[in-house]
Amino acid sequence: MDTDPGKNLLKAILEADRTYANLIIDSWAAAKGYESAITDLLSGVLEEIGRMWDVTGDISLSQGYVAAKIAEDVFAKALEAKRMTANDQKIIKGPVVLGNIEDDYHPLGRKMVSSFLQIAGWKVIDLGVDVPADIFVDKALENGARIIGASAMMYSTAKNIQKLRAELDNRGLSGKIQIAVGGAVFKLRKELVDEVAGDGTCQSALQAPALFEGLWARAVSLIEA
Amino acid sequence: MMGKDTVQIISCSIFRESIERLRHEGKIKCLVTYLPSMLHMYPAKLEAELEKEFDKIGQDNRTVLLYGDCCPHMLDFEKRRSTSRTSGINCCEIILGTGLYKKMRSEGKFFLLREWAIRWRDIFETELGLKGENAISFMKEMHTGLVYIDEGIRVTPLEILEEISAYTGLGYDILTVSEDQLLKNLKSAIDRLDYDS
Repeated sequence: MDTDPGKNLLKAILEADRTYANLIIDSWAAAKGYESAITDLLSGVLEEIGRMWDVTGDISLSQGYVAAKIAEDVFAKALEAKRMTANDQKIIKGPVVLGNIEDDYHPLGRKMVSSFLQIAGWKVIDLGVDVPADIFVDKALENGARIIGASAMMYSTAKNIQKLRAELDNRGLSGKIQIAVGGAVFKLRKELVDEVAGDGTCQSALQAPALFEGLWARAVSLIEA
Repeated sequence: MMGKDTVQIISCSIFRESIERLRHEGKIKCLVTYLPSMLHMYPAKLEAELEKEFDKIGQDNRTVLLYGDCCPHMLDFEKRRSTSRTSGINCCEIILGTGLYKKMRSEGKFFLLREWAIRWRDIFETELGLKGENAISFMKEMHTGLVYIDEGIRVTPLEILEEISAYTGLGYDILTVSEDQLLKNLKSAIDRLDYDS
């Protein structure tokens, strides 16, 4: 075993060993706290996994899932340890609305995005699978969300995101509410983001927080203009 | 030698036994090429194999793709001249029909077809890397139960279903289906060829 907790955590995630990964994080947190476990340990490891995802594509479903679950685990522990005060709540970003677009029933990618957004401080309203365009927009308006994240695994379901764009256009909300798109098919059909009129995408769930920061800023700038 | 009136089906091997039975019963009279169902795990390879099959068949022949939307450019293949595809986003929808498929997916069901059920370790453990508690956690988070689609050709592999159930932590149901929906779907795709040509 390596003495570097970062290397051990990376190895645990790559071996999809959630139990051992949590042990490493708990051990770190016992000495330095869970916030440090997020910023000083987990973040670097997730960045490395994100790099592997982008460069080699050599991250299995199981490894990606375990990385997301570990992020969820440590985030929950950090919140509990912190016993968030009303003041802390103000630093939460968002909210944003996520869901699988109409006819799409593949929740994994969406759940991973939700995990990584939450650990980055975003409030996520998760609408689940098979979400019609009007429900996405209703929920965004109801909650003051400036971003709708629409996930689709296949080309035939991804095309339903066009209905979401039409719904925003019809209500005069395009720009003010940004559409983030993602899912397996977007990695293999780069032109699809434009075809479905998405405002942005990213290569992996790990990059979702950066994407959402950019889209949120764009929405706010358009509202203020 | 193929003629212009011949219909060539390119099919996922998941349908092999049902299609062969339909051919044996004289309900379809087409040439069929089967590609391994495991290509589903490798979309780029599936596209390459489909391309090879189209090259073999040639542009002037009529082709039906017995596939769901199983790779990113499947719908582009479908747009080719004298080509059509069965309706449905995957093999389960093709066999069950849209209404039943959507109802069960909305309920969170995970479908098992025989060819994949008997190779479940290859798929879950080797291809997806899901093992032990991680597999149970993953499957329970994503699904509410297993449904084995029994096409009435072979004896239901109950021991295997028990193994998958233990591995995933999910209970299973057996849904017996006839070949009617598959046949209807396939004939519809062939009719669209006739309409387009």
